[in-house]
Amino acid sequence: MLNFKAGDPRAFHDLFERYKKRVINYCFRFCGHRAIAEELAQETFLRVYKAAQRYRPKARFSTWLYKIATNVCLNEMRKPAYRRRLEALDEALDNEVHASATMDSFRPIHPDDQLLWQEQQQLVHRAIDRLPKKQRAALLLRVAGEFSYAEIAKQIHRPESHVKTLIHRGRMRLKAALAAYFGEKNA
Amino acid sequence: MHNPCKNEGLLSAFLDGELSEADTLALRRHLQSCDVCAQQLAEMAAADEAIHEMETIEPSADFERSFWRKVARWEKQQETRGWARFLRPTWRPALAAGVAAGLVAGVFILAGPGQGVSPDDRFVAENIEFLNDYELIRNLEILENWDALEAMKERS
Repeated sequence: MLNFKAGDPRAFHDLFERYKKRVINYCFRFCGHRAIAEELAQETFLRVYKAAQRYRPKARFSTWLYKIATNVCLNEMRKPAYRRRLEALDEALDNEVHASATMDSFRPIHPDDQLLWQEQQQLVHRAIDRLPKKQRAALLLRVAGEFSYAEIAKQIHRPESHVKTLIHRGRMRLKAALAAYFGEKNA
Repeated sequence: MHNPCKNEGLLSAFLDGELSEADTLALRRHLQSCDVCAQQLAEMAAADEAIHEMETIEPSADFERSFWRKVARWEKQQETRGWARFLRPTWRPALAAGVAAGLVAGVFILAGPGQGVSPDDRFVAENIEFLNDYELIRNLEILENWDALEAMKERS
């Protein structure tokens, strides 16, 4: 980032290449929709690009990047149009076959297993979607982003003790919401 | 599941590796003898695992192109804003002075010497030495004031 700030455009390309998939998937876990996740990831990188001249390396670059991504996701969720768009996309998704050549996850091969897997995926997305915003942010930063409590505290502007509580509560809620998922998985 | 030990907060921090060494050791010892806490820890770990196992997506074919289009649009806006800053109230007096100075300079250039010279005058100026040989040119002053001289003559 410092190289980009100093005027090397290749440095931004390198950062973009290195982090684009991680940021898209972080946003995807946040909102549960590919199209929205890509828009949020683009907005994140655009903000990084715009803020390059103001960048001060106070923490790891990834801490700063995920902080921006989290803000972008939370801001988007506050917009009234977001919920409407999410519902419209949910409806469209229910009507379409979940086949995408670009998905690289461990999708089962057998059709029955695929169906179960898709249902489980939706269940997890919905469980995350029901978490209060700050709990969701803290839990995803911890589990998906693998940041420490101290880093998360900086990212969401909360004391570390509060971060600990948010993660714990989010985890307990998720655990309760996924009881059905664990039942099916272990069946 | 109700946890009579009320250790959930500790279990969560333990799972995240955020407990001190002493607390970690103490909790490990407790977990060996408490099935409720051990079960709760396993469920919490399973919730984390569900997040880890969520499908991962690859960027779409248009992701990068679309991003750079947004960057280009922003840079263009910045360029336009660069000029537009001169229209801000703080710059207005300077802008007005500049425009006024430009107008004055323009008027001066258009109406200055050289612009109002007729082709005949220029021809005379360029060939004055040659034309001096002609009677007409030598008496040009008399010819130019001919009407006045005629009037004087009539009065006398």
